[in-house]
Amino acid sequence: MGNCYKEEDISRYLDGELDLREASLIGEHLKICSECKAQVRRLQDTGIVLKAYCQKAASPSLPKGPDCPEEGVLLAFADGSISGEEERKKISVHLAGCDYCCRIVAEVSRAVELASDAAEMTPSPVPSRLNRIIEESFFPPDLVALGCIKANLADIRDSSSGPGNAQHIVYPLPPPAQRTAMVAEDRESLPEQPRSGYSCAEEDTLIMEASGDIKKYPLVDSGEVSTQRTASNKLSRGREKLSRGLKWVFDGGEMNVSVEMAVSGKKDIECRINVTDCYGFPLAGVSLRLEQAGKNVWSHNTRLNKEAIFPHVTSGSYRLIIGHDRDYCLDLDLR
Amino acid sequence: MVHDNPRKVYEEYRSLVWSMICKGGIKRQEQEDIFMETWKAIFSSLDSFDGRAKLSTWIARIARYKIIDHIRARSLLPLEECELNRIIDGAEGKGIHAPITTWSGGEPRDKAIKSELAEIVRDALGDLSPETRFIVEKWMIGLKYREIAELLNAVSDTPVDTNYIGKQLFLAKTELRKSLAGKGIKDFHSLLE
Repeated sequence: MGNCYKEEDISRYLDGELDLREASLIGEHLKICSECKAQVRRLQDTGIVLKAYCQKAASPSLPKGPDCPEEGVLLAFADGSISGEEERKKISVHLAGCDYCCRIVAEVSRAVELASDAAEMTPSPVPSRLNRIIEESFFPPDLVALGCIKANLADIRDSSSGPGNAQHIVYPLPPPAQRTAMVAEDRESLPEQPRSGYSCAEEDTLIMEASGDIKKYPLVDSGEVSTQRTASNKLSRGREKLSRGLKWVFDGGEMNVSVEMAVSGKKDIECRINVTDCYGFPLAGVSLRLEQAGKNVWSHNTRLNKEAIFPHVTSGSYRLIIGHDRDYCLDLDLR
Repeated sequence: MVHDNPRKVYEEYRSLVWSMICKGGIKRQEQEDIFMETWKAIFSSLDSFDGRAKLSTWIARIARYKIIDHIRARSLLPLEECELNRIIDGAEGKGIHAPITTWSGGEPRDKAIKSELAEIVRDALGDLSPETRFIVEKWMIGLKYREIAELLNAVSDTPVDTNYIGKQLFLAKTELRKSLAGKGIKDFHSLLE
């Protein structure tokens, strides 16, 4: 045929060395020209024989030499990230004599070529199911930090002197970003008249901006507990030994966590944790895990009718992990 | 730096990896397996990325490895590079690839023929000039014309370009074909299948 391509061009075409336009012209021509097709077959065979021979001769894999550059350098050489003439020349001289490194550069070039071809295709979105699996496998949701309770155990033991003894504690973390506001209950700010039953949390709680100090308040004798209208206190009401201690309430929007450090009957300090919904009703099935230095020291799943109590609290740094719709964490720094 | 944040890396490069995997003639379920394996490998070694090359290069290399691993694992016969490339590039790939070629293995008679073929290739390469042999050997490893030219320019005083490399390679292939024909091997396509 008159428009036949030179063998040399076909050789370049087979080696993938022509630009897309030229390659597509030859590709079209090959569809109609049996002579060129035969030429392709001959060249292909020769190329295969050579490359197959090379693979046979090269196995087992070539060893890395002491002068071989690091892989990162070879990658950068192959993708053109190394552009300095001197540096490229130095690596080229090494490559000229090192088949091990040449193989790496060749592999990287092929990978870059594949990526570049793939990028030119109409992008097919990653299936959402696959995305979800990746998300769940590799990016577990971060812990939402509720904050940190810093407390002195001696203060808790001595906190029986009533509301006047309320102390300020420093809230050391910045305000949590994720829909979590900190709430401190201040006994003094509560209405004077006792109420019965449950009521909406907003009436009873003083929402702090969590930008500075929050107040803690002392737990009081069981007779006065009725002024506290949270589910946790409702639960605690039956506990005659409830005497003195401190309490913090963290409002997670759909979830409130109250932490009480109270002196138990044996003069020990126990940590009572109650998780309630935004109306103050206890939430069951919330997993509580207390860790110290990364080790699990206590775990509990909340129930409707049983308070979660970590007994015999000693000084130290703890982290309470609360697993509900996601994982929250609350640091306890007890001295 | 993007590579400090695995989630950002995933968001930025997931489409690229998926497109690379989809490009080949690989079944859907297998594509998903390769995708998972690739990201597992990327996340587990992201710390080792030194930032000298482009992150896309580093990721593309891992993805290609995983594709090759997968194809090799499911194949009963060992596959040569050209066949792997044919599968990786898919039917619509721009290169024209040869059919399955297994140099080793096969019947005793085939083995003998292939062994003779290897000898002929070795002799034919030995007959080439040092420069042409250098070009052919680097091409056999898989370097592109541009890379071979750069290597040759680094060790030689006479500058060459990709046209020169293409010409030399073509001449070498022609010589090899002649050598094979001289030994009575004309249709070695059938020998290789």
